[in-house]
Amino acid sequence: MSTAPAAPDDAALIAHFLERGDEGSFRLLYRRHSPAVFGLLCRLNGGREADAADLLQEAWIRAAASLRGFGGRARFRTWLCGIALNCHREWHRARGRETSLDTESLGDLGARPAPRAVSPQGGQITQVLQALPPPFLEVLVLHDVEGYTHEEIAEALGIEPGTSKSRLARGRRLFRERWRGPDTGGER
Amino acid sequence: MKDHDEPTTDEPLAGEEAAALAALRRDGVPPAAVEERVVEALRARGAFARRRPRWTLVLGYAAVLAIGLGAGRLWRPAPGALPAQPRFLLLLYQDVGFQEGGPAEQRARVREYGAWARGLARQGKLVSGEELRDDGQELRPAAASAALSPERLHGEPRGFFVVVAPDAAGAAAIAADCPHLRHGGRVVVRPIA
Repeated sequence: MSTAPAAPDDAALIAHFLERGDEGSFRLLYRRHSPAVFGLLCRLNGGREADAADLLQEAWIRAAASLRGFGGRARFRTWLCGIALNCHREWHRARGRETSLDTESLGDLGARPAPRAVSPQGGQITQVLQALPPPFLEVLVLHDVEGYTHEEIAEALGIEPGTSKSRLARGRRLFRERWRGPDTGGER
Repeated sequence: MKDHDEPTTDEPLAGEEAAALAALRRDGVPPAAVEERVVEALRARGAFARRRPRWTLVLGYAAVLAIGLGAGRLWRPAPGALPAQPRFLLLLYQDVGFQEGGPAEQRARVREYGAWARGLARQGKLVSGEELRDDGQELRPAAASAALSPERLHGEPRGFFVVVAPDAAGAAAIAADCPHLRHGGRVVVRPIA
């Protein structure tokens, strides 16, 4: 009885795709990572799967075009998520909801209309997340939902780990305020 | 997590809040059409090599030659036409080490596999051979059938030959001459009961 060989790792698939133009290796790479990236995009854009599918497509096309620049310092999925996040940010900006970190203070953010999300129901938590400015939303989701480290987030977003920590702290504060509701004084 | 050196005041989320976020952690199921759109877009940009010759093409090529030589009946043998010898299944795997080669090499490989299959047909050793598609389903007791994942399919055979040989050693000798081995592929020989 023969033992089935282990599936090739990401590095081998990338090498096969780049060196031989091997479609099968690319498809395997796509199928391995797309569910996680698609799930991430769905969470970031409030569950709009059609938009998430378009963003996933754009992310993979960009990733394939720049794959030779993937140095392997980060995990491939982390690198791919970074590209997907850029796509999401551009999509978000095009929808006119981009928020500038330079012009919007935390106090201003707190003054934005917040949904009354005071119950841990899935639909409501999605609304709470969607009310967060993208920079904080991205770090909060990557860290507290996806389980990425600050180093990985920094690699994916092209920021410093300290910035990731700072955004997480502010993202958590905003999330907490909106999750608990403004009329409870921060307490449930 | 490394929040201990957080430069700004950070309060970890309370249990219910953290649990609510953690509950969101799950993979999605992207529409299958997205993969095809991505692949088509990349193909249009020349990202992929021309498709390698499939086993069906290789075997088809060999079959045409075999028919031309009057040995085509071995591909669709009439009942009882085959020698009364044990049959063996040669399972062909393409692991990571399999060398697919460029277009010129692939054309040469068509000739190579074709010559090998034609030689077996001439000797009355070849019963059949087919390529397996890149999909499939798995059925288990008391469970719904499920499509085989790409990860699982990778470890599955990519094609097979059925040959006849006097014994296991003879079948192994046939397999040892298979060009698949010369290109980094793997061949498993199983006797048919």
